[in-house]
Amino acid sequence: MSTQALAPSELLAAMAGGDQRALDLLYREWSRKVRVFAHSKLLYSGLDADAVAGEVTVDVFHDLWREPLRYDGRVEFATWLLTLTRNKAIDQIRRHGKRRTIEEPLIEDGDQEAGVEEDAAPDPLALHEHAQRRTAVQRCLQRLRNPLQRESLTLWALEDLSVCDIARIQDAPEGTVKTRLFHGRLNLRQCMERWFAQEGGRHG
Amino acid sequence: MDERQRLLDRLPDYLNGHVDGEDAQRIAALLDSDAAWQAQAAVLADVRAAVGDRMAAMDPDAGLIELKRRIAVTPKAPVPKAGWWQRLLGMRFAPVLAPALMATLAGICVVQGWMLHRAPDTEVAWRAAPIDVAAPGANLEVRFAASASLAQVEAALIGARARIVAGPQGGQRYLLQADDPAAALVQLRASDAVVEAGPLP
Repeated sequence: MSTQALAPSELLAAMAGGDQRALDLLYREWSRKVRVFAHSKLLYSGLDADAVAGEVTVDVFHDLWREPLRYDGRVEFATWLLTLTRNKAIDQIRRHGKRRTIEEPLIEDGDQEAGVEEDAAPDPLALHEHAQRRTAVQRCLQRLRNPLQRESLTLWALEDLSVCDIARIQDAPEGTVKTRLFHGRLNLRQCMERWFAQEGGRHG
Repeated sequence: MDERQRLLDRLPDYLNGHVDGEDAQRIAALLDSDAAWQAQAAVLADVRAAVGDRMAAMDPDAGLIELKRRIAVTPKAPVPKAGWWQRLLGMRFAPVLAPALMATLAGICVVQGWMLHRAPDTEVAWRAAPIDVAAPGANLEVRFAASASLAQVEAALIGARARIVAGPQGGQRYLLQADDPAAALVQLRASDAVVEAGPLP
């Protein structure tokens, strides 16, 4: 089997024939996206997001291995895979715990912000502005008050998905997804401004 | 909805390459000239970079060993056997076979047309024939009574030693072939089942 430029459907067809090399290729190509998205979904769920995201990733690909022909090509593979991932993550949350009624302090909550960042924020003097900005984005993205805004933004960035695809994955109307993306980036920007103001960085 | 807000809602799709036409041109112009729009796009670019960083920091093989372990202990779900038509549809090389398939079908049509043209269709010929054209071997023409039963007709034919070779035609007339036409005519005319009978010219 050529290892270059094989479409997911081709790899799935090979997997249906028992070819584990196809599974390896599919895993290496897609597992990071699955894991990042699962992690984004599991944040503040009361579970260990890192560990459970790993479990979800393995679960997703195990399902693919067992029933590769479940993907029927009616939607883009990315949309289908990330929908499966989202469902698995929700199952984990339902099975193992409930979303915390009081989530961890969010950076948007002005007066709580200092305590959160004091422990975890890197020394801004040791970082370049670029790296600071990346750090700020990472932190603010993870701490968005509305998890669905975080999820929408993550999906948007993961695979060049359209709003329509994101709506399909989130099982929500397109208008809702547009609102989530709009308010998500608004909240993210405000959070980053506060982070830079607090850390003394310059916001570009 | 405000037109500006509508376009702003389309910004994520634009940046992912899902907007074209007039909206794309307008968004591009706004991104060139409007600092607020540039800031919006910058936030999205930051998100993309952050997600990209997270992916890049991950080991693509992480979890693969666990996956292999699970596969080793769990039997693969049986794949439902596809029907012959599904396998045919699923054949990746079907397009390659299409010209040959089409040529074969066309060949079958041509051969069948040729055979149809050559084969004598006596049935059709007889049905299309005018009434005054006798069937081969017919030497009598008879009209049975409308009230005659099948048994009476059969008895009349047996008595006349004749058999039907064509009909019914106009006026419930049948063409008969009799071994002895003259004797048959006598028998037929004597039968209650026969209204009229006569020799064919």
